[in-house]
Amino acid sequence: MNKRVTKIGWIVLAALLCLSLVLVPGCTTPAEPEPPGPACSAYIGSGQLDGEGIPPDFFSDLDVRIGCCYAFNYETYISDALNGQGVQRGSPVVDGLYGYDPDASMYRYDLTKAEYHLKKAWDGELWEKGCKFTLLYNAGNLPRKTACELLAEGLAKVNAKFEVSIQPLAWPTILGKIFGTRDMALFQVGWLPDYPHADNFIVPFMHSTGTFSHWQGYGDATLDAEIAAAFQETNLVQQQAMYDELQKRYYDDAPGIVLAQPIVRRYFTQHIDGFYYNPIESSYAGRLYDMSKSDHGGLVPYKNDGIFVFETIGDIYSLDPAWIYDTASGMQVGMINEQLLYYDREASETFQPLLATSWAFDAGTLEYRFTIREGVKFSNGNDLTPEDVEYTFERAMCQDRPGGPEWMFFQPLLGGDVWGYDDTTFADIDAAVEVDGNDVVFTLSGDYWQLPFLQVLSGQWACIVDKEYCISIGDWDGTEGDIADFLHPQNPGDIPYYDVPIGTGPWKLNVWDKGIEIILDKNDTYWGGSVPFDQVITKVVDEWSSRKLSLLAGDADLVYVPASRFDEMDDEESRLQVYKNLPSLSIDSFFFNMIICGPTSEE
Amino acid sequence: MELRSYIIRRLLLLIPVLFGVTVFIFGITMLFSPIERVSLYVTDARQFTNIPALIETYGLDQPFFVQYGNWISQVFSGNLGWSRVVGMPVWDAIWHFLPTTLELAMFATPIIILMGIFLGTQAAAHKDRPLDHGTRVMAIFGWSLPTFWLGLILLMVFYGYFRGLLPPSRLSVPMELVVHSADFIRYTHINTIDAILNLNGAVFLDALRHLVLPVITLTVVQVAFIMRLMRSSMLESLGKGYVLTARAKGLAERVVINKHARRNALIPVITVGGYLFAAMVNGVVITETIFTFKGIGWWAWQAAVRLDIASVLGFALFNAVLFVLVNLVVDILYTRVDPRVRLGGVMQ
Amino acid sequence: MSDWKLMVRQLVKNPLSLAGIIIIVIFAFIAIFAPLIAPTPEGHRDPYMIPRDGYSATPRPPSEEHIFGTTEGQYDIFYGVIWGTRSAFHVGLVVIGIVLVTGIVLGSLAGYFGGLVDEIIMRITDIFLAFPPLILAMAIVAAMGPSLKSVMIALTVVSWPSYARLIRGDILQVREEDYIEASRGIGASNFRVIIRHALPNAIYPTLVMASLDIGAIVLAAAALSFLGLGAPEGYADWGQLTSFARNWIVGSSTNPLKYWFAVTIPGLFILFFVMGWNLLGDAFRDILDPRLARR
Repeated sequence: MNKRVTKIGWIVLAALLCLSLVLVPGCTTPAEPEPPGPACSAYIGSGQLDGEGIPPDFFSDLDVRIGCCYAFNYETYISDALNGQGVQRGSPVVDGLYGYDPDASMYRYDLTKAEYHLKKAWDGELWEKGCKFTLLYNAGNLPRKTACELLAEGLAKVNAKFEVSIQPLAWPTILGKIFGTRDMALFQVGWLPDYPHADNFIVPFMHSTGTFSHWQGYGDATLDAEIAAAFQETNLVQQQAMYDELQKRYYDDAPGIVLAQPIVRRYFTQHIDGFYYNPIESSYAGRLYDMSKSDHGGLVPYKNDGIFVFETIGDIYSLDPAWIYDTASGMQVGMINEQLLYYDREASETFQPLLATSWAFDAGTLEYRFTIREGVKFSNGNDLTPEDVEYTFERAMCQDRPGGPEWMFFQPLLGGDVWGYDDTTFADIDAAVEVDGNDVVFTLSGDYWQLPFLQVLSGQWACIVDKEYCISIGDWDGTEGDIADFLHPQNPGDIPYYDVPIGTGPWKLNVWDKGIEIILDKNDTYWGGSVPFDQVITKVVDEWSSRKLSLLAGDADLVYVPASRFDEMDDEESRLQVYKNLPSLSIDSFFFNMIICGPTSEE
Repeated sequence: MELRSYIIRRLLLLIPVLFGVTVFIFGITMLFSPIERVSLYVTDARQFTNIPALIETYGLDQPFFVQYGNWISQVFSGNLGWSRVVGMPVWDAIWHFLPTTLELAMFATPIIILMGIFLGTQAAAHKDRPLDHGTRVMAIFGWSLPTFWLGLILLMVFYGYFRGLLPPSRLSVPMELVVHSADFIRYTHINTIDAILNLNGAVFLDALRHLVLPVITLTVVQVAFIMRLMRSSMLESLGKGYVLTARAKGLAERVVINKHARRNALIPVITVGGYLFAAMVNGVVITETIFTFKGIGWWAWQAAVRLDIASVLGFALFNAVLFVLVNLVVDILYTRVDPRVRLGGVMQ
Repeated sequence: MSDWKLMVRQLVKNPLSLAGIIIIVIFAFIAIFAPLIAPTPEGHRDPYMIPRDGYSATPRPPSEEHIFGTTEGQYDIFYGVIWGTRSAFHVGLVVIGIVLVTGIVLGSLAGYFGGLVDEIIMRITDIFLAFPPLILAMAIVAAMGPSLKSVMIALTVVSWPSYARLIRGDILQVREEDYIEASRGIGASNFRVIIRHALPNAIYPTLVMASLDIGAIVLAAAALSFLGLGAPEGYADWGQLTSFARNWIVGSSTNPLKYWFAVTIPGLFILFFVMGWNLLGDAFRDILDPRLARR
């Protein structure tokens, strides 16, 4: 019996292994990068213009870039990858920004023109020999994958010798490649504004120190001067002409393939009133203070009276205004603390007073004087004073966390060379923000900052904190000697304030259950009067199906709906309140790496 | 070998295991270049402006043993690092998320094991008869379902179709506010236990209601496994000599099965059962994600996907300790159930 | 041989094992003849990447062109499940094969010899078992790029320790039995004793577990895809297809089953594949046990 058993056992095992080897998909797994050979990057094939790869400076040839721009099918990308929820743009400056040119030129999908330019490229050698390279996208992102495939398809249609393969990688790895090793041929990133001014988009895309252009190897001193000049121009007509010129310059130089400006929607239950959309508003839900909730009947049940429940993805990083640079944290901070002023409903260039009752700019002395509202209390009972305002800004600049928002204070207050604390001194910071009686006086570095500075002040990073309270919990005490303990913190938790905020806003913190939810309670002493919701609860729910069901069951009043779901939600429109065709101030784009594995742009 | 010295010996062996695990993980992170590892620490493109300085700050270009040594000394001073994905120290994160998973495991594991043992015994006792076939097919069916598929369908039916009958997440909004209020003391952060300790029936029932779907999802999938194992090892022990003897002595069939056969059949089940609990505490990520029951499995997955190395190392340590303890318990139980097995015995 | 005839007759007699065999044979047939059943279109470089018909994000219902419909991103489901059968066999068999061999070797050595050998091997398995499987899988996939190969390596590394432990546990039991004593008494070498006496009697729970595990491996690979760690988007893999369906399980309020095809069909393939192996494993178990065979 045992003999039979062991014999059968081994035979069966052997048969199974043979069967599986016969069905080997192994060796033909897609898009394994070519073995490096002499090339510096695994994604450029042989590293030479011999039909088996591309040279590292492949994209420095203008005709190659323009040819690629013509070979991309923008319409299919928008209609299919974005479900029609997008508009093509010719340059990074999108609709809704100050300085936008509605007549800017754009590339269209045109294979004849693509052929023309690609034939010219590299003196015809490219057309003859062909090329091979790999496009990378961050794993899990289907629209980005689609964009890569459309480009590959377009190029292959122009000339079958253009072989482009596609490979996914984890996002941190891709970040490391874009900003570190720079060995990708093209990369795709999106950009969101800090304040709605063309400069805020042009600098990262075109300036030699810009977030993207620097790493692409695009941009030079002349262009930098043009960008600075446009920003500093005080004649508005002249300024618009200069921005038109810059947008055209992007079209002519084609340092990247601009994909689309997304259009977004908001899905509320029918019980919520008062929502209005401001593209620069960082709170996904809009200004909750202006909204209300009451039973309007209908198919979605009315639950949780007096409580606003929002389900979204992604948790907040910190509740410290000086730290935050993401929309999720910004939404909460904007409810607990308040700025001096804020965008007036849907506008991006006019403002309503909040903690400042009025403001005036003196072009001669470059002083911006803000009169602080009286009779305002923080939720812990302390009074709001101009010293709190001064402390807030100085504290932010002396904290200057790496990758934080403080550059938006340094630039307008201390000038074009100052990007962080290390570029200046405490004395200069102290002098830039001063208290004068009931006013706070900011000294700007140039009169062209007049409008952008107000836009900066409307951001959540400019929310006011209570100096007394901060000092009492062990935060910075306001003097130069204490700075070393708080300068350049690495983790949000290094700052005592980060999860125990106190503000003047309509709501105050009840509990922040990290990773799970944050609950805010009504601030009974709010200076503005009645607050529409007793509680505001923001839950982190990663599963789309769960969020969808919550919304339809009335357990959530608003949920985050990604663009890929808009089609699916069309069936639910009759039950819900949907706000459509909301232009989002963001842009997704391809970037050409001018010199792969090469140096960044100088200056 | 004496039980106490055996336990002590096994616990001492925890140290090389922990060492091995952490070296292993550290080794894997060394597969990334310093630049790639820097990108694990930064969240914003603007931070990349000065890569060499960043690499120096985090000490990423130091040799492997220096970096490992730094981490070890940090651990011994009580600092497991900062978990970027949830914005709190790693040590706090473990204790913050563990109760949720414990609550799930607490309800699911006994149900799975008891049901599995019961069904397996019955199937073996009535081998090849309809009861056997029936239970087998049902259990296999359950076990073949992908967890997320089952979970989402349950959610769709019992939350969507039945209008909010069994909702996801741990508690409903009104009960959340109660639990976070000053009157309610959270002793363990396990809602059912806390509700009992606070004598709050409403919270208890609400917590149970939210537990139904995730526990069903876990149970349906895992019961088959235990049942099958129990059935096959039960069949084996039923074929052994002592069972024949027991029957020959005229003992009732029920006694034969329960008292004699089952005891020996339990051995593989104990092995697997031990792993089951540990695996569950390790985190049934998918269930936790779908039902928004954020426990330690969800946290570990976020850490892994977003390459939050500090969290990964912390979780690995926790997991290692848990498994060694479970193995120890299982091995001791072996000796209780099968007297022929000696602890650490060599062939006599 | 009459032994074989006996075995075949036993297999066929039991309706469940017969069902298992038939299911597996059908799947093997599909896998072997995949290029004929779902031919790869012209010029398509890699047959394991599902051809895309457009780029739209909404799944389209079954039609003449796409018998089972398309997923999010317009990947043909029919093509995907047919070629996915190959991926499933490949992943399941290779992983289990390697794991079985490693587990058997190490587990037998540990269980039979005991003492220091046992301790060392058990500590090594402890290290691997103590290693959080998800983290290991993620690290391997991140280091090697998302692909089926990294998934297989990750699953192999994670699975072998439980087999070693199980074999060891069974050998621990078996080595006390009389026939072991007997064969050692007549001077059989250790190797002979392990291979011919200890192992065959100890191996049944392990073989049963292995048959269950082939399905478990396929499910684990699907779970990894669900968590974003498996084969790349568009690869012909059942797990990948089911993860595509993740966001479409809840249809609309008026038609909850609107996208049933994207959700059900890949799920059914996984379900039947796993069931087949399970039933087959049961069948092997019932046949290979010499004592029960005589009943």
